[in-house]
Amino acid sequence: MKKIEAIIKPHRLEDVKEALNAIGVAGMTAYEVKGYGRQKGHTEIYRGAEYTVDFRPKVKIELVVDDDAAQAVEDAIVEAARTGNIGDGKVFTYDCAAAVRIRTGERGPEAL
Amino acid sequence: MRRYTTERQELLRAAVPGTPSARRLARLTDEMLAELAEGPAAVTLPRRTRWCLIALGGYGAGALLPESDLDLLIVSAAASSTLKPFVEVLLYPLWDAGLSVGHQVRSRREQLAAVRSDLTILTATLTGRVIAGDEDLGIRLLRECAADAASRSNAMLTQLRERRRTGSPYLLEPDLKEGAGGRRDFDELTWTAAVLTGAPQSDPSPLVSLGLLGSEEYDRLRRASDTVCSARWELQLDGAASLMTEEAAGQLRTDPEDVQRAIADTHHLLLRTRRRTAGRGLPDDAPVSPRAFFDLVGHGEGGLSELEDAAWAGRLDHLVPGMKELMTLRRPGIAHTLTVGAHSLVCATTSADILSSASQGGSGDRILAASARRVLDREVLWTAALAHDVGKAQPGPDHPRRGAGSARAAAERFGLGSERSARVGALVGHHLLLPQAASGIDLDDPHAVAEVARALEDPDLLAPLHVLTVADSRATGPGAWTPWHAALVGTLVSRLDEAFSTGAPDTAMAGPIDAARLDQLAARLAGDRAPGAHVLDVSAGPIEGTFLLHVAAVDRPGLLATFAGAIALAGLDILSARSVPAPREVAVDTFVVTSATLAPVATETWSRLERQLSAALSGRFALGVRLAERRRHYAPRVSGSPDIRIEHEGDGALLKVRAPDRVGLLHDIARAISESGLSVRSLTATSRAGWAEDTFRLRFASSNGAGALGQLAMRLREL
Repeated sequence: MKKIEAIIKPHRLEDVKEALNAIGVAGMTAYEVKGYGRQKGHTEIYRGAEYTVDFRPKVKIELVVDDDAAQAVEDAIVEAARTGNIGDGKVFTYDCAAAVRIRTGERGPEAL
Repeated sequence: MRRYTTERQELLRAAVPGTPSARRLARLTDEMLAELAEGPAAVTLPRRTRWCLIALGGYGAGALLPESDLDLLIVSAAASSTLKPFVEVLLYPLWDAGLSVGHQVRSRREQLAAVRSDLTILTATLTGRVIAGDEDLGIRLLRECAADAASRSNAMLTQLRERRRTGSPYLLEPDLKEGAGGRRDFDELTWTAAVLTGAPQSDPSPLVSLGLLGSEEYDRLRRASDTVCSARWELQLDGAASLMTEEAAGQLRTDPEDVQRAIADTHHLLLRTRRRTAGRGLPDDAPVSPRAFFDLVGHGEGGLSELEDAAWAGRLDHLVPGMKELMTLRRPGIAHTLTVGAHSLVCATTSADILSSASQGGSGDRILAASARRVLDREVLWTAALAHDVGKAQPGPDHPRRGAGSARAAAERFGLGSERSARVGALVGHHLLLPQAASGIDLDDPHAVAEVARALEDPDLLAPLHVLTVADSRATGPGAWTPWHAALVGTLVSRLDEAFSTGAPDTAMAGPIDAARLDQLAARLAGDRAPGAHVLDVSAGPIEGTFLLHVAAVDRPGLLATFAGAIALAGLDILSARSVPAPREVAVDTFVVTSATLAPVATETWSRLERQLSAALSGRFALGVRLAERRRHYAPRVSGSPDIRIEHEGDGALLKVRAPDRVGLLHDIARAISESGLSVRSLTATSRAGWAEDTFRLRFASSNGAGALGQLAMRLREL
């Protein structure tokens, strides 16, 4: 099993959700987060005055999928989240050691 | 006991939820307890032991809900070792039957001491009722307790008035027992009646003869109490606590909006009675005037309670028809915590709090503070906040669009006039634009931002819309506005602002005037109505060699033409101009100017401008003729034919002019506008590389709009 985390621009969330639905991914968790990468924070100029915004609002999604599906999920996220502009985000994939569905006690890929 | 359990189950199964059933359950329980206490329990006591059994609290007042505690007081002076078998024989069967019992065993003297030291014990005793044993003993004790409270009535009433109440009757998930408007509020009125009469009471009816509650008010209170009782009965049967959750509300036989109305009525009647017992006057029953409304909103959160009272009493309905209905209208949505009307009032007071916090330096969201400082017209913002959700009166999506027209009509009733009312309508129509766009578009994409700017149309709406958006979200509920949302919306606002100021940095755009400056200028003018009265304020312009002028005068037709003409005659070139609808009757126009010639701008320039403004405003100066003379000496820098577009929109028109700039051009256009029977709602004008680009939003001054536009087109052809 792989755990996939992605940091994306907030307005791409719906597209990413639809893209994942389209390849049969049933669920994910989304968080409203703030952060910065190479893009750093930024300065907004509003009515002549400068305002530093240290962290940019992003959405982080997390999901765990079967090993075989991981590549397709990565691709779908990248495809749906890309705008071509700076700050499009990143996708990280990790090995996932275990999963348990609390209601039934099922373990491993069955629990996904 | 077995018979009781069976009959109780039968009652719970078949009863119609409500007060009559709660009374039947209480009577049934009385009989069971009396049998138990006077039979098997009494047998355990030595002969001639004086005792009695008293029901306290809600049960004492004669109503019992399915899950209510049996709150019991056993009164006897006997030693505890003597009483122990009695208490056990009485209580074990109750516990075995699964009833929840609260019991106290006290002598008369102990109970009197307890009610003196503990308000909760006192209030439970004020609705006490003897159900078994020595009735004289019980009745005497209950009277003594009430009389004792009456002897300290001022202190007692103060303690009752200061009782902590949680929540609001307008919460979508109200607590029907402890929350504002819930059972405890009704109880407080009963306790108040007991303290004032010095006798135990089961309801607040004595308050009517004491003149603290009108008989119509008492009827409403009883009906409200019945509704709350029905809803609580149902909630308890479903195993829920006293919280009417969204899910539980969906299952009730009682209409949740009836429940909402009942707790609102109880809440406001309690507050009114509290004011009466404190000897404080009641709020005026007359409809709230626009001025009084704005005063209350200006107090921010501090004005909320009175605003709620006014809205609930229908005293805002003449301004926003249906406001009373909105107070109990439930439109639950994600993160929504309040009914529509209550949310709207909180939105208005929150917007006032945002403005005052920004004017005091503010903290936190600095882009929001910058927007707040640029809100020119508080009354427009507050009216929009009050009316922003009127579109929710009808169900279905897109309530901002549905509500825009009603909001505008409401603003007219506030006496805001057609221009300011149009802005209220526009704010309401767009009140979801910023939050939706902030998470719906790529903020790094200038084209997407420009689309949003086009949807908003008017740059001067941005600052009030930002404040309205934040106030609306904060008023929705704790989860609806976080630093995450603030950063997203703040970024969008600054980028929209950039999109509106399309010019490159060297265009010397006149930025919008801030509210403090506007107030200052209006105050300096101090309503001076002498024909030539005006205020001219000069400061350094946005780029070197330019000056920023604010010119204020009492508003009148043709004012912009006069200002622009006098400036041109003073040898100044208008690089940009802004005219915004100002509150009240003062017009303030902003110009960025530079010398029109090689001569530097000197003190003499400003005194000449002052003189010419006074003369022109008093009509002692033929501006047109003088400008024509000047034009002969200064040729335009570029040649070309002007491009003029007029689009009819609503009760006015949009005029766009692109023309070779020349002496007095802005004056001529502004004069053509006022002479055609139109007035300028707002203006953005720039002059770049010899070309002037001016956008006017116009309003028809008379009913013949088409005629006015025809005339305007003709006059502009002569430019």
